[in-house]
Amino acid sequence: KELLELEPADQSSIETYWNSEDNAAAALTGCYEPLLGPYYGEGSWLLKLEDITPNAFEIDDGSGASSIARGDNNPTLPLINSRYQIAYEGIGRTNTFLANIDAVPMDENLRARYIGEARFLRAFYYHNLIEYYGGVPLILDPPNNNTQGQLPRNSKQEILEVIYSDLDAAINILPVSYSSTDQGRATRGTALALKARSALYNERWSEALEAAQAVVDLNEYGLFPDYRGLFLLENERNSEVIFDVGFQFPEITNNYHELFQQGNVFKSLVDAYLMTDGQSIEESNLYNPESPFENRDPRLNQTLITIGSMFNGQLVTGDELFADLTGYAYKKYTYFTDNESRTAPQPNQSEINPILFRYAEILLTIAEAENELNGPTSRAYDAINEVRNRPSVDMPNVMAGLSQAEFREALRLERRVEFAGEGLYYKDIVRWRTAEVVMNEDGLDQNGNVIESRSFNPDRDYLWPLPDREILLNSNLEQNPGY
Amino acid sequence: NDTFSQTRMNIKVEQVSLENLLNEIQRNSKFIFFYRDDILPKGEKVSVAKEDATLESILKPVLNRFNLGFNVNDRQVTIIKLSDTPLLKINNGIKPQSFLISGTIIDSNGEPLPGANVLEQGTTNGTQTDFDGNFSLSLSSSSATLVISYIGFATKEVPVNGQNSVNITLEESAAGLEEVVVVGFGTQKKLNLTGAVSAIDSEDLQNRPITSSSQALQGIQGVYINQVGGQPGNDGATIRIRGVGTLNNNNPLVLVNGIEFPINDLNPNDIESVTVLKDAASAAIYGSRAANGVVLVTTKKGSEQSQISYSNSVGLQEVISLPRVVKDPIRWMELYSQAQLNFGTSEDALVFPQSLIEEYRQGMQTDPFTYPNNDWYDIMFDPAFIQQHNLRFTGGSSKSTYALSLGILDQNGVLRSTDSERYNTNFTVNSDLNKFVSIGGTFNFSYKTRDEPVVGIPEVMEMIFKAQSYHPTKLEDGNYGMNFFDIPGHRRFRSPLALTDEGDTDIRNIKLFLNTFAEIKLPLNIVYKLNIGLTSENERRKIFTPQITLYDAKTKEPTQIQAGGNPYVTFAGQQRGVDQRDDKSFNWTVFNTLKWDKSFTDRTDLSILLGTSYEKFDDSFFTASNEGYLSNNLYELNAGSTNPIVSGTSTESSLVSYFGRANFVLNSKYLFEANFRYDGSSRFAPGNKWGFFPSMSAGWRINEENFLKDIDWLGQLKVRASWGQLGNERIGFFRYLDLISPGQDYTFGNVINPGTAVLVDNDDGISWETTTISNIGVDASFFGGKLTTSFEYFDKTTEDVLRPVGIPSQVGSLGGPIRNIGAIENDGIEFSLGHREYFGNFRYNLSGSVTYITNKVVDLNGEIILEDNSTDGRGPFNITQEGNPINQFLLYQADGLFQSQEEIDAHAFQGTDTQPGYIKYKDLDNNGVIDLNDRQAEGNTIPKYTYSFNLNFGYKNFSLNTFWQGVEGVQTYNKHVSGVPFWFGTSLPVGWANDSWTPENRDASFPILTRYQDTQATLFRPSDYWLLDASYLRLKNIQLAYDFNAEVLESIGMTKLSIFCNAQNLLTFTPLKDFDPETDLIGNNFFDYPSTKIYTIGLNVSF
Repeated sequence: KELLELEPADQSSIETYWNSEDNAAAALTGCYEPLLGPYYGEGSWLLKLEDITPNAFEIDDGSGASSIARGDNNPTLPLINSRYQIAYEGIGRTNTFLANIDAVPMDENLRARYIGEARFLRAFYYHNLIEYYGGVPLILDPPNNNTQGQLPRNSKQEILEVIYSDLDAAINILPVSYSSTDQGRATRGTALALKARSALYNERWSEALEAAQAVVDLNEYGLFPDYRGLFLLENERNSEVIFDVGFQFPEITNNYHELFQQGNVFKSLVDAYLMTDGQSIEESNLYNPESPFENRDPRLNQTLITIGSMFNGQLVTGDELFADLTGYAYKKYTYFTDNESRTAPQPNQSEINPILFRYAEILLTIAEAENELNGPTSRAYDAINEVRNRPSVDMPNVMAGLSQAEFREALRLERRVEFAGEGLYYKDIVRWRTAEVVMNEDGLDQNGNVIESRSFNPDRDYLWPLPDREILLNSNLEQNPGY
Repeated sequence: NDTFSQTRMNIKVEQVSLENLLNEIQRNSKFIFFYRDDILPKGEKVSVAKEDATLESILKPVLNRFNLGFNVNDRQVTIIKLSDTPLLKINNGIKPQSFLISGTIIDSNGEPLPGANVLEQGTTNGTQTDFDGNFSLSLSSSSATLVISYIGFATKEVPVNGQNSVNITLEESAAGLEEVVVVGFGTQKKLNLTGAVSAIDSEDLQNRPITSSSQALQGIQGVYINQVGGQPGNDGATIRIRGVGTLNNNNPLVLVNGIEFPINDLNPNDIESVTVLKDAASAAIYGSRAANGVVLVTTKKGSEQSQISYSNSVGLQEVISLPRVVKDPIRWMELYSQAQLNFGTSEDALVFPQSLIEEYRQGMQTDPFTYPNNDWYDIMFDPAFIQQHNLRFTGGSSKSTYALSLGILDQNGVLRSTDSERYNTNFTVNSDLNKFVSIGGTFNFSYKTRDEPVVGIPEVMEMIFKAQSYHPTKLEDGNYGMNFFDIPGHRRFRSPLALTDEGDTDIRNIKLFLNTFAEIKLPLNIVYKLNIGLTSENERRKIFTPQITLYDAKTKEPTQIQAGGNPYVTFAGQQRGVDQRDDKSFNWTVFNTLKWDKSFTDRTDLSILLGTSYEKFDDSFFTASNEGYLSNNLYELNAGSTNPIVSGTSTESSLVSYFGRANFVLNSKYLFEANFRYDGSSRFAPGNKWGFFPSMSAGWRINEENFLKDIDWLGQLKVRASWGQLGNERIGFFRYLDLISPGQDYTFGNVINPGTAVLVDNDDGISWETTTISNIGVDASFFGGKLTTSFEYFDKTTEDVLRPVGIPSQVGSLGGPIRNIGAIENDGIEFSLGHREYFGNFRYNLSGSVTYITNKVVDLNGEIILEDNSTDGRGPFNITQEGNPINQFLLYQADGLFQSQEEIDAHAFQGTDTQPGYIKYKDLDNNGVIDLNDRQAEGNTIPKYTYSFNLNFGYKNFSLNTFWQGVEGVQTYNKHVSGVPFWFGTSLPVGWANDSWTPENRDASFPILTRYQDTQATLFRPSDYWLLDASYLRLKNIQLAYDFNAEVLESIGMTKLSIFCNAQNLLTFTPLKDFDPETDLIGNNFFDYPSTKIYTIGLNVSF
């Protein structure tokens, strides 16, 4: 009976959807949308990943970061779940997009570019999975529970190859830059930057070097002179930014302004910043324990709120909300500058874009890969020193004549300091296998009191467990050892 | 109880005396007349010719002529002189004495029956017994016959045979011999029912302060009513009939006068009766929507008698069941430090160093604004006023009747800033146009307002539980205060006072319900009925999000707190602003029935019904929001200026059906019934739309058999059996289509680009869920109806259960499809028992029923279903798997507490920071590590036993009625504020303060005191240590009423006056100490609006 034949009025049926360029564009936008998830709420990955390093800690274990840091990682933690789910959400959408885009009547150049963007995104989502969980089920077709629901894990290696083939395709197709209305889409540089990072993480040094050098050779990017300014709202998408996540008030907002001020930074990170003479606080005679923030790497004051420093036109005394349990918090990604008094955004209404790839990482990738391949050559030195010589940082060059191992240490420290608060350090200590040392040390506040006792089991904790829910729903998934 | 007054008869007399007319009516009906001889006019002749007429329509015009009136009480009709008092002592009459007889009327227990009617047969000469059951009466002759009648007893005829004194024993009539029950598309004699049907009528509900009509179902056998909290305007109860049969929507189909309508939008005072169809035999005529049972609500009709009734109740509500927590700020801080030390935190890292505690102690003496000692329960909860008024007019003529009712409910909430008002009118009219056509209709209007805090009830409750004694209310300068020290995890105190007093959620709901019918008598005794129903609903929900600033109690530094975040707010931010949503729904229903009744003999009847129906549902909403408001006092959309956002959509669905029923009663002993329904729904793909639902049932009234007829203690004995199939279609729309959804937006440039994505994996093969119910029942009554009992056994198996299936994230992290999966079985028995008795002026009536249900998932295709109802994703999971009940908890098995480090070392590894006083978990797989494989499904979220009973007592004009309800065999879990110690810097339940593990208190009921945030991965991993028994027995209602004597009232022009006082939820017996057991059992947090005790007084009067 016709009385029973009704059609939905606010959603499209999948059979009739893939018929216009506009619809294809919207579907591609939908492939970017999962990027927002990890950088939206209290569980923001930038911070939560820092909280499982010696840099900082999670005060309430809301995401499970504190459990991980204390040695109680387990398959039920929200952080473990969200990373897995969001990545596969993105993978499912890009697979659907890639399977249907060929049939859409549209401009061929645009189609090619769209395919490039989608393949970059798929590679990025898979990268986010394998670097934490190891091999996962490799799925390249549109979601279908009947055929995909019970697939077992593939090896990390297999997935890496898919990532590189997706990235190589993207690198070939994608433009170097976009007109203003399309800014924020993946570019050739973005795909290269991911390839460099992925290769670096997997110790494929020459590929890393090659990809990073290709980014440099695009001549599209350069270091932003003002290190603090790099993360301010008014300088969004500056010359150093290779890829960021697009937030826009009022529809798409995050809570970074608040969240970073409430970050709980440990003394360990503060102590890691060198003195202006390039020496550590233990070695340098510039260090005065009475005024510990004097003569320090300028990035300390540009990254962290400390007692006695200026913030939003006020002297931080310690009674303020943001000088928290440890005495330190993040300045990075807040709306405030040091000396000027600004209006804070409403709670949860920051629109600042989290930066996922920036040029400094490219330079430090060159330094690290070159050192691992060929030792501390001048190419390695030039790259690391370029980062240290940024005008607002202006640290002395790394001491000449270091051994490969010594240079490696200097490089590692440089990465920790340069990217503090940006969520890269956790994967660094995992791939360097130093987590079993630094994560077995207690977290201290400014007075040296123990705030969090930590533990790291090298036989287990280098990989995250697959989420409980996934194992229960797919009995073919094998859990990582020790969980 | 107007069963008799609705009796219809044919009367044709010409030029007879009034007395003869009454005799004629008496012969043609079951009415018995009482009157004083001298009031009937002598020599006046009357003529009456009426067919299928009610008593009222026959008598009223006639009696009016002679300034006479009449009162109907059950089958007794008393003729009175208007502006005269009714006759109580009829033997004061002046009838010449010829033969005097006296006697005593007793019941089968030998108890006297006061007020029984004694009548000389064939005359109008009669009297009533006195309080001791005695009577005396002058008879016309010694060979006369006495007719003795009494309400609830079988009328008895006793030949006098010359005796001067008789003792007569009356047998109670089998309960409601003539009682009629509303069933699908009609009514049926209760005696002839073959299905499982329970009913309740308005008398049972009288005077109770019911605020939502769903509460009226409480006490119906086999029905489980769970009323979560007492929020004004939002206290409708969950209705479950015979357990939980499906994994999706378990709500029964509710029909008001045959049309689907939300029961809670009906004024409880307009309800005449509620029938619950529990088995497939009774419900199959509603086919695809009947699997969870059907609730038929009938509203009160008009009557020819002009009457005005008014009832009211006024009272107070009081909060109950708040968790007991440590309220003294110093003790709280000291225990907080203790918890930190217990966990191993160093002295230096204590949040409350001794110096701070000392400062606070001193400060409390001098500066209560900075160092408050607040009792937040006192601040947030207050006894609240409730009042109800109902006014009802009835009247009409022999051809038309009407009823008009008006009702007001005005209820303040026990929680600040919650209240509701409801206004109802109901107009019912029925009219016989001519011999063949009658029409009628009901027009119902309700307008309801509800106010609640802007962040919603659960969030306010959470903030109340989180607020501690040291949290300031307002500072000296009148600003809202913030505590001056910092607590990890609860850095930003979101003052519940500010969240309730600022901003508002304002909900206004208008509902119109129009239900009209026309009934046409066709030749061959066939009746055609057309019924058209329209329901229109409009709800406006306006949320004003305020800007709330709290000021540090010491530094006066301002902090803005989040005041939005209400799930109904569509915009992402929480700026000061307005979010307004308008929902509209419009349903229409048309059904046609043809009914044919045929009597072969007076004991053998056939009745056949055929019908079609078409239902259409249209729903839509529109929302708009605006920000940029300059103050908390302007809250219309126009007052804002920034970020206007709009959204909206509409949906529709339809249902087409054909149905029929045949009833056959053979010789009044053998009962047969068959039903079918053929339903088509728009919710399924073409090819899967149609479903066929048949049922059959039979009954045997054994007591009608000759071999039992002479057993006088046996009243009624009936066995019945039924089988049938029902459907369930209630899933979301278009779940059979793969859809691409909008709203997956992302920013390019600085512009939001519209994005789309597939969000849900839909399955196009889905179709009806089918429930097959077999039912066997026995009904019996004994000792003249003083003891009644019934027993039911049922097996309810639901196959092709429609259920959203969770799928692994690797499938694109899509929402799972709804699928027809597996089978669920509910086996159960229901048993009820009733007993009533009289001793002189004292009477009592006890009745109760118990339902026992086992719920089992028979088949899930080997899959399991997981649901995470926790707020933080850490469980406990609710798990549904084959062989177990639905929605168990997946839990570690606790094995007491560790007493020593040696014991920990010897036990399976549980985690790095395990120490004495922690919970010991069983290593079920013996692998030396407590891991996820050591969890086990446990606990029941569906009560195994539900029971209820009434204990009613009466003495003279007083009556005391109590209604009790309970459940057994049900568990719940609490993993949130007020259930755990120091949930992120908040409350500490007293149990932890007084009886937690220490080396000195090893038998403690609680583990060693730590902060939840420190030990959530160890102590608070989901385990059966925290499983709570949610059984309860509750005195839902107790009522004391006084009915004034009719004779007294008559003199002041009233027909009825009773006054009453009433208490709801007066007593609760439960092992669940700190929370209300009548709750949402899988919610894990107890953030529902708290339950209340309600005390009311009121009166009920008719003119």
